[in-house]
Amino acid sequence: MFKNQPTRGFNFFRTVKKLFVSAFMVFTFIAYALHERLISGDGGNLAAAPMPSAATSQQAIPSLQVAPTDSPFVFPIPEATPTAPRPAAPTPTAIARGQYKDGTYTGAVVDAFFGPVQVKAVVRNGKLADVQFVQYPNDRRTSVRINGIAMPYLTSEAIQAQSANVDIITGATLTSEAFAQSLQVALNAARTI
Amino acid sequence: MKQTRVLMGMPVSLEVVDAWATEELFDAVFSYFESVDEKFSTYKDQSEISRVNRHEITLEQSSEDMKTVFALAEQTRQETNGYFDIMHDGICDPSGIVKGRAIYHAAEILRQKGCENFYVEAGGDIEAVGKNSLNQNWRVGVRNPFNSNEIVKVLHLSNCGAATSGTYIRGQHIYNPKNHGQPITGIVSLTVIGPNIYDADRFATAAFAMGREGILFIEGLEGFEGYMIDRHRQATLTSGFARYTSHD
Repeated sequence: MFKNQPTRGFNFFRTVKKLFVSAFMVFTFIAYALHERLISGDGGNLAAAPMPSAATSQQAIPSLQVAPTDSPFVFPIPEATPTAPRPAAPTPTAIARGQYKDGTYTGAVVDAFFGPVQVKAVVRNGKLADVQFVQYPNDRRTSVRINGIAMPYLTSEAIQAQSANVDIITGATLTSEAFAQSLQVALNAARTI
Repeated sequence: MKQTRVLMGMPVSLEVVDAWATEELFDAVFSYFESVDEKFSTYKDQSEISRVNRHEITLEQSSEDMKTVFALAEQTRQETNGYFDIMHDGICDPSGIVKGRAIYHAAEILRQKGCENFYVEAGGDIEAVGKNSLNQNWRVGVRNPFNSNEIVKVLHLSNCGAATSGTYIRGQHIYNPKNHGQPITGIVSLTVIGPNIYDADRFATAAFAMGREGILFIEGLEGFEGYMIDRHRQATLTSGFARYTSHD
């Protein structure tokens, strides 16, 4: 029993030292955190959002490495040379070539469940050249509440309509059945006029 | 030269700027899309995927192409922490892989034929290669999810893919595999730009299923940028997104 006493005294001293060092570390960390928070408080509205969610969100980022450009697909592309005989079976009849008069034709309004869909078909040189949307399901919610979720590195903006000309449009996949129906009406018009 | 046809239940558009582009070239690409649809359409009773789903053939008995798609789907499931899953209620729907891959291969066909300036677009997903007819990067508009006649962002893209996942155009067509029956709310549109359309599309699909965390997933992917729009019309951009919105 007595044997342990000197060691215990030594341990006590070490414990105090440890506590002191830990306290110093904790204090430094808090000071740093406060400092960071104050600094970023000046830098834009994003930082005004609660910090805790920023920390958790940041952890949620999976560090995924993808090598996309050289990920070859194993299967061969079906040989579709210009000389290959095309199947005689008529593919979508409405889209067969050369049977339309040039012009712009508007299809019927078709209910796509989430809202009305209506398309306009543009025929050039007897072929369907473009399909444009006249009507499209809209979200009716008009709330403009700005969310305050903090996202590290990310910026945020209210969406705004742009007027610039574009070559292509990216958007969610279209309501295929309603789309097809409205287009069919437009193409029927193109055929009979 | 530009053409649009309706294939795989959606409009498919090609524009080739290279002056020598022929009608046959367009036919080759469109018939490739048709062949993909014949095999992978879950809407077609006689497609191979429908036969797999009816257990008429096993995966082992199916074509190499089918096996590859399943392998790619499994790889994607693992890379996205399970958020990408082609199984829904016991039915296998690999369209989340098939569409992006079809656009990717269509672009490959055009490259092999020597095309240098073109885009392939199917249902709002795009592979943009080279320059447009004005010798600029391709200008890609991000459709306003609240108003189809508007765009809310203009991207300047060359040699990359852009895909958008959204909730309501086909209804809730993206499922959250970890929360069956739970609709994905809060965000309405997520556009992802990546080095090619195959990767952009599959990661857009998975990230959309993650809800608000999805944009953080894209932020963590090297070589990918994202633009998320929530139901309050607020957009969130990844840190490198601005490089695609500045003029070339």
